[in-house]
Amino acid sequence: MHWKGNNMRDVAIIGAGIHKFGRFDKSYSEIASEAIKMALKDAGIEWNQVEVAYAATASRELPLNAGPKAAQVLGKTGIGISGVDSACASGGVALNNGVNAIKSGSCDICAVFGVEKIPRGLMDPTPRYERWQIEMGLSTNPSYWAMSAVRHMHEYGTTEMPLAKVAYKNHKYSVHNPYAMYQKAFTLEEILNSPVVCWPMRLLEICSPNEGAAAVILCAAEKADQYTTKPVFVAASVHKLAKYSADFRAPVVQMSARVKNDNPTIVAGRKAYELAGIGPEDIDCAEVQDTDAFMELTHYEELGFCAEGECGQMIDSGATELGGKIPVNLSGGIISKGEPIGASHLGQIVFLVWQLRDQLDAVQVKDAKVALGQVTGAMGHTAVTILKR
Amino acid sequence: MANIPIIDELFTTPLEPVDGVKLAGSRCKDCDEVFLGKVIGCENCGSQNIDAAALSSEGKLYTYTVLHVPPRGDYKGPREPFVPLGIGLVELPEGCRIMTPLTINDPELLKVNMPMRLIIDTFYTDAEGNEVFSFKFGPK
Repeated sequence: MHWKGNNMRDVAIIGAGIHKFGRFDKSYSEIASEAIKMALKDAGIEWNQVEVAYAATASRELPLNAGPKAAQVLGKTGIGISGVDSACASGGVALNNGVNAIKSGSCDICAVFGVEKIPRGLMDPTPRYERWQIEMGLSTNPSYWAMSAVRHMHEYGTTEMPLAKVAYKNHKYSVHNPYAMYQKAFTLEEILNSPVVCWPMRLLEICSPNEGAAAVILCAAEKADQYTTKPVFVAASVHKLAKYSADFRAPVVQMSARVKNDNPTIVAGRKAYELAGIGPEDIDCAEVQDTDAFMELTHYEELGFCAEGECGQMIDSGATELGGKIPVNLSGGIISKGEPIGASHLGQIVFLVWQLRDQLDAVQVKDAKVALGQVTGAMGHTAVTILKR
Repeated sequence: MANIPIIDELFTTPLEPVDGVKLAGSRCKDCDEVFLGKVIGCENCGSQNIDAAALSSEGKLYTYTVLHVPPRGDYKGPREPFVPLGIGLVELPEGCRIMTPLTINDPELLKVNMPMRLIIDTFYTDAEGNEVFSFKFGPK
């Protein structure tokens, strides 16, 4: 007997569901199960047809085994349900697990969901920072993002205006997203006059941790047409951590002045393009991590949407607006949706599935065929997913 | 009652007297990377061939921010009212950039590459009456 080699299968998304991001007077189980039910209904299947499930959560606000507990509200069918914590990239890692489960042939139908319930304000630093860092005031995530922005400003002459323009764009599109926490457009003046959180970053330019859930149903591509006429294929699903001194994401004690490694979004993006057999020029629309407005700008460069140092010109040119070369964050981004960490990447995926199925109205990208979702966070946990219709 | 560091092995010598105390560091004998405090292994090359190395007390500002909202958790700086906190990365001649509080909290007065110097000072008094020492950087 011989092992017959690599019998990998393609993977399709046949159902997508979301629970609004915001703050709610209900349990994480209710929030998660609503998103899963919506995805099941979209796929035209029942919970007892799901063979394995992966859950993404990334805060200490939820109990241990939150993922399995939330899903079992729909029935204790006995399938394997396991949880993933990979900071802001948790949803991408749960998706990666689901994709691999189907590719391996161990199942045909898999549910992947993320859920979170985080209180208002800055996040609790105790799970991620050392005691001395907290005591000294070095434990707020936005301060690291701000220092990254200040350095970029120094090196490339970036100003405050491109940051405000990203926030302006994302808030502008949020009014079309009924699942966003804030569905309100702001003027550039309102954004630039909003209170400074971490100089030069202002309140209307950063995301707020919150509550919400998102879910997708994965299916072996060869069987997808039993369930849907509009399958969306997972062309690449990649997870990376930051290499030594490669990333400015909190919590950082120090960076090297001698060693220069590529940022994890560059590394994960490169791998994802390779797996999908495409380049950044082939992307029709993208959802990238806009934890703050500057992060969205750097992702333009890191994902190859523009050259290094040219992110300011890219937002100025309108290339990332609806109708531009690569529309980015037409969902409103997490600047307007808020960031339920475990659910945020899957929220991107749900929105991109809708784009590729041509089922959005005001923010539909005409004839979208290829879409990219990206998240990055603590420790440089980074996920890049490429979808094709 | 004694003078104690905010975390063990942060400083080169005991804090009595404070004069002449430096930030303690570790140097990888294989790749020369230098780290703040004591490390078990080199994050750059994976070597466990590590020497102790005192860090320079002067450097230059690589980047900075000013935090305008009080941090969550057990922040020991002024809270009522909160005083905006300058934070920066200071690049030392050893080739590492240390995350540190700054003595300046006005962005107009902070410039990338400005020369900085280390300040080791008492930060708070703990429940046993010990003076807890931490570090910050200010303009040279």
